[in-house]
Amino acid sequence: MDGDCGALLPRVLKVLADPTFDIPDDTCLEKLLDWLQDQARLEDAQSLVQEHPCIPHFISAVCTSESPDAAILAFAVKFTGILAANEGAFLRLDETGVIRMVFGCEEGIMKEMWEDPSVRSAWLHGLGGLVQHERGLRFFCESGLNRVALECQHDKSLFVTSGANNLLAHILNFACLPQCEESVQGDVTCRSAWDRLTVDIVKHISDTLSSDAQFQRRQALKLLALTLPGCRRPLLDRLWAAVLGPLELQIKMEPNSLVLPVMETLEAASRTDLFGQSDARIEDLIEAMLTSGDPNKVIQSASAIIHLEQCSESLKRKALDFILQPLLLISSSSTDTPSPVNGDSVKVHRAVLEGQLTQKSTCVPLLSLSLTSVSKLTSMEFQFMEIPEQLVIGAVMELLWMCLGESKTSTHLIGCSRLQRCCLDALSNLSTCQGGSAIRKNVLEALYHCLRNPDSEPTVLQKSLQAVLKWICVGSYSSELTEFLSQDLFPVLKRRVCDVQWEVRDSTLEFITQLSAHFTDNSVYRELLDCSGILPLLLASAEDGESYVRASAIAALGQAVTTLGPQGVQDPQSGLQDDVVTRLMTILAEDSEGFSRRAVVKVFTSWLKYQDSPPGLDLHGVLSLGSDDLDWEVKMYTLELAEALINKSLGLSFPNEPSPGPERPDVTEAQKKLEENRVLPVLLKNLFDYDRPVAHKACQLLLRLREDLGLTAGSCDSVEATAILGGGQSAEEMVKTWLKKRANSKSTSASESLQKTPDRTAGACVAASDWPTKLSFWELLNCLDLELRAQTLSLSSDHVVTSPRSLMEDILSAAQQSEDNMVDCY
Amino acid sequence: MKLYCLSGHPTLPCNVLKFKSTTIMLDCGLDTTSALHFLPLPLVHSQLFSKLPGWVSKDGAINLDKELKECAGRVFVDSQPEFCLPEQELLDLSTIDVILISNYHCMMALPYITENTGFTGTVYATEPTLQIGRLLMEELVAFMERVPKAQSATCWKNKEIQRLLPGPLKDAVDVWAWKRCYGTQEVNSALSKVQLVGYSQKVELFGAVQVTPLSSGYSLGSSNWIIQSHHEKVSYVSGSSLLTTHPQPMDQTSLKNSDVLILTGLTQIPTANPDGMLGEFCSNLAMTIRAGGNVLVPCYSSGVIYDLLECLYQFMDSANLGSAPFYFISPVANSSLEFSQIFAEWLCQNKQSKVYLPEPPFPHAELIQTNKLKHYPSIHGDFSSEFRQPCVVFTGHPSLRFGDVVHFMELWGKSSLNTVIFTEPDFSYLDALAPYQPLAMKCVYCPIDTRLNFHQVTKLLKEVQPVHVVCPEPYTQPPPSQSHRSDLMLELQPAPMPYRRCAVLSLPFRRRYERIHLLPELAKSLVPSEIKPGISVATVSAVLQSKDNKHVLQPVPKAAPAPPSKKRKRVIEEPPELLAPKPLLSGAVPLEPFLATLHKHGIMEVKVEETADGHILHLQAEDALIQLEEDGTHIVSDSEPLRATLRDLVLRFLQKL
Repeated sequence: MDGDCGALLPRVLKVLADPTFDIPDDTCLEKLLDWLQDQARLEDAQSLVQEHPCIPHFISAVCTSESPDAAILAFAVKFTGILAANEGAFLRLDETGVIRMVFGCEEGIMKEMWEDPSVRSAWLHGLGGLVQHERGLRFFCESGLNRVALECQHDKSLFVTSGANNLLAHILNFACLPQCEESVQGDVTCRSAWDRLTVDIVKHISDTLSSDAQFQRRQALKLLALTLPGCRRPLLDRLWAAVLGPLELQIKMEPNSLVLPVMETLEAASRTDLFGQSDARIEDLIEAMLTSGDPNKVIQSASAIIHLEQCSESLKRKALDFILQPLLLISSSSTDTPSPVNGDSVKVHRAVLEGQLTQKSTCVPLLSLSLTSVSKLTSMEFQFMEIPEQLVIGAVMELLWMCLGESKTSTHLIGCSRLQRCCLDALSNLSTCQGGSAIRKNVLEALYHCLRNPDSEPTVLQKSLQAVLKWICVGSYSSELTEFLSQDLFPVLKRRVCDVQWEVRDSTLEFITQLSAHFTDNSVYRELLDCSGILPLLLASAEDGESYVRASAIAALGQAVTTLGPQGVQDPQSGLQDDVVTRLMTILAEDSEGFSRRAVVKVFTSWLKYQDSPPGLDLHGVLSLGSDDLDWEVKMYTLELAEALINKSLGLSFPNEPSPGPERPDVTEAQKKLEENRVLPVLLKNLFDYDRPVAHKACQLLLRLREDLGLTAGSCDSVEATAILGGGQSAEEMVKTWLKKRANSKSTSASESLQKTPDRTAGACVAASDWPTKLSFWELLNCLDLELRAQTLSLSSDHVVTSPRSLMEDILSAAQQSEDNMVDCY
Repeated sequence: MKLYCLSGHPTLPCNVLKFKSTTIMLDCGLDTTSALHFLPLPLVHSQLFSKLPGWVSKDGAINLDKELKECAGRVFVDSQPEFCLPEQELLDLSTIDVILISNYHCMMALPYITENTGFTGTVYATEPTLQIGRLLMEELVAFMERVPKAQSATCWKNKEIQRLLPGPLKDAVDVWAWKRCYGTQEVNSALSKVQLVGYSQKVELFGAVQVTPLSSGYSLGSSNWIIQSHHEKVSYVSGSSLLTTHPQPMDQTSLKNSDVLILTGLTQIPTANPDGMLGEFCSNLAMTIRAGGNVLVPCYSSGVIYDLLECLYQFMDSANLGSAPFYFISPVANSSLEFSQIFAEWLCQNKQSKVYLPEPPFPHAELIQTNKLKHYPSIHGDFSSEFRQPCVVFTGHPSLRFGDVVHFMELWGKSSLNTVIFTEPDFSYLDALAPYQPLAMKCVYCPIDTRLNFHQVTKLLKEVQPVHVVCPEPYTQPPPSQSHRSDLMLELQPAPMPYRRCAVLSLPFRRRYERIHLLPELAKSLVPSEIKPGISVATVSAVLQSKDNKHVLQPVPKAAPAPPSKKRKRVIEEPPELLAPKPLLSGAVPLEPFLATLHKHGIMEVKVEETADGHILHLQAEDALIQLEEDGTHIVSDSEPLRATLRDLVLRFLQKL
């Protein structure tokens, strides 16, 4: 703890202990507790208690207060728990009687304030800290706190029950904690105390699981799921033997509304040593979850079973059948293909399912669940086992056709966009399946119909476009794909780019960008794009009324130019690039929205990165417009453009690209290039920008420039200052102003500061008062104290406000203010 | 009650309802799809249509080269287009008492019905229906009269010849019912018979029935009708819409409790959602304009065009359509745009409230002010000097057979940059385009039909619960092209009664009650007696007079004094003889008390036998039977005094009126 904070702490704790103090804001207590927890971890909690006697004073003051604020009391209890986690600190606090005062909930202030759930929750949290060591556990046992903790497990407040669950699970697994293992094994008193506790808790879980109250059963299952992963034998066997019977009854219960917690428990059990043990019957229980009468619940269970690592193949196959059954059943009704899911297990289920599938209200949630589970399956190794993937994809497509009204059966699903969205998500994920390329044509046809349907919602369209992109990437490029692009996709994209809803226009433009990026190296695609008539529409979209759409259109145009490449672009006939450049420059200069201007700068940056700068592009103009922009993000992107330009000029690699070689560029040459593009004035101007991230980025770039150029004193010649600073006044003035300011603040002349810098040999005095006509690159960069500046700028702007010192000062000033207010009142 | 179906067209109905001695025609729609068999009427000399070869049968036996021309692989009739009239032979049109019009699209055959048929009745319609209907009729007449064609083709209609013609002309039905368009004079004369009504206004017809128009939400002034007597209610639902467009919303509640609901005018394109289609329309339009092409929208001069313009008004800024002008060309364009702004009371609430701001209810006023939308009576005159491309042209007629649209089809058809967007659902766009093939311009079909779809109508009928539903036959089965779509038909319990052209339906409902008035002096003479708490009855002796469908009970006139002279020529109707009515008995004879009474009167030996309807009492000593049944009591005895005694005992338990 630093000195300032250490000095403030007693005053703060005194204020907090004052019952008349009104806490301005709950979060300040949370922040203070976080900080104190860090201190207890970094320093030794014992010494914290010893060195700051104000701490036990504070705790006992709160506990002996007549009517403390519940929030303050909760804070004190949690703080005590944090400290008591350390055995030494525990002993120290126990000596002062604080521990008993805080955790003895049946007397004193805790008893009075027990009704407040925040106090109960804090008590459980505090105990969680306390039982980290054998002495704590013994205290817990001797004080009979076990009974209260078990009661809390049925508390009406969810925070309290969750705290109780964590505490009880921790106690059950106490013997397995590395720091406690030895004492439990060796120390007989400790061992017997812990044994007694576990007997009580295990009985409690078993009893609660058989209870009539669903809420209590749910809590017991949660506690079990929390305990099982860390539980070891022999307690594990004892625990499982106690819960097995009630658990079986719970699984057989109809309707079973606790499917998810039961599955979580079984999942946790399957990861323990019990799994291989036949009398534990874990797999039997898991299988029994599939016999529920409610198809929705069965699919939920099946979906969880599929993801169990330990589970047998046959059970997984059975679960898979249940997941796929609704999907294959409804699609086979229209295609008359026999369903491969015909096992005995699913037959019983079938009648109920068929009934539900004919009603829209039950059919939609069921199919959505099935489709969501299918989507999850695609990321798994075994996927669909022996069920052919094409069959699953075909079923999803059939369902999509039903939603589009193009299927001969099931008219009740027409226009259901929720199902369409699920189908499209599933189709997107299924694109990774093996053998997808064989049915790519059919999938693309279904997706094309979604795109063409005038009643498709914007989200459906967006998902269709994403699915198209994924399926286009499946397999190799073929003439079939050319046909799809030119005859189906491009015409529909052209219409969607002009859609009435801006969301649709925006997602279509984003899609065009992604598509062009995917096919950058494909000459057939380039030709198709060139002839499709999309490019004039993209140019028109850059003037769309909606700024998001304009930004997407700009990105699409930029990517189109990149994809069409030097050949297409430099074709004097097309004039596309000139048009694009002119349009983008106008947007940068005139557009009222930041989104579009940012997009323009990003496009120029990407062009510069991946190809030569377009002949008509006035980079200096872009840099100067971008760095003068009012939007800080535009300025950031302008700096990225400057970075790209620096890299390009100096022949350096981009951060994420392989380095071209170890040679350093010729400094004079580099300097000349940078002067040509007038990059330095932009960096210098932005170095003094009021937006911190901008100034930071500019500073980093200057530092990198100095390093990359390997600049040292004398490594570069002094030249006319105007050559470096771009001739304009602004950069020069900013540098001068800054130097002046610094000189004033340090009460020393700028020239003196320069004198102090080592290796100053050039002799030119760079000071605000006598600005030299000639200076070298190195001199300029050197006088700006870039390292110090970078360090200052790297701190977030609220670093002062979020410091513990500021927090404590805030609390103190709030206390002061409330006193002032009291005075004002009289 | 009978329904005569003079048209089988579901959206252009013409039915006649005979109800309580009145004959009411419900709508008189004109089926103009027959015009698709005719060659377009170009406004200026057309290279395309002037040099077409005449049609000669393959064997050369039939030569109709004056009447039929071959164009783009099909045969078209080369004369002024003709329209298919409602059936004229099924019933004498002069007997029609009134015609109820539901919307301006459903009155286009009015001159054919009211003129030269002996019709002497009245036509009822709302004001917007009359005024916009007049505009549409005038426009139709102007389209025809601008390019007169003297020639009238009739030879091809000969059954023997028609049979040999190529399709689709061969398959055209009722060709002898096709007639040329009426003239201005007939329009004026027909419309002079229209009497204006407002929504919910009750109009009494001959004292027999009352008719009331209700808002139907489809177009300006469009209505459904309630035809009711005191005890019967027939609802006539024609083109109705539940969507929020410009007209007043549909009045659904007044349709409740109908004995018969005649349902016509559902959407013609049940699979196309109007919102989606409007989106399609806008995006195709924007796509064409952005690519430098022109857009042609063949449409009627009133109706959906107002919504299209409103939608474009909202869309044009975001779609950057700022520079392309919109032209609306029709002989009645100006009146249509202006009329729409003055019928504020007939508009939806949102638009009505604008009038109080005051602002024009439709945004097309602003489009006109800013010169974004310009309207012209025809392509001649000012339009030709101010025409700028690329542009959007709204013009008629949607059949592409007459009107200014013919000119634009020829002008723009050759360039693939241009687009024609069909928004009216009345015509098959492929048939409409047939004489213009081959066509380079893009064709987009975005039919916008805001009328009720099957889903909406099923819901509506569930709510209003009519006893019987009568509808055109096509509504009782899925469309032929989508036979699996069982959701695209009416499935009701009991099943709706379908009708087709020329059908005469006896509506399955019997009139059971009639309202009769009592004169006060007669009422005064009544002596009511209470038979149940709150229910009293009295016997009435009176004379029933029926006149003008009103029924009145009058006191029986006293016997007239003896005639002064025997020389009377006419026999005066003798007033009926006034007989004192016999008292009426009511009530039931309770068994146990009756037995007790018998006992009291010395009849001891009674054997009671239970029968299906009551009891038989054997008075064994007296050798008599008393049969007590629900609707009668019989006493069988040879002894008259005993019978009389028993009768009096029975009467003690009954009430006398």
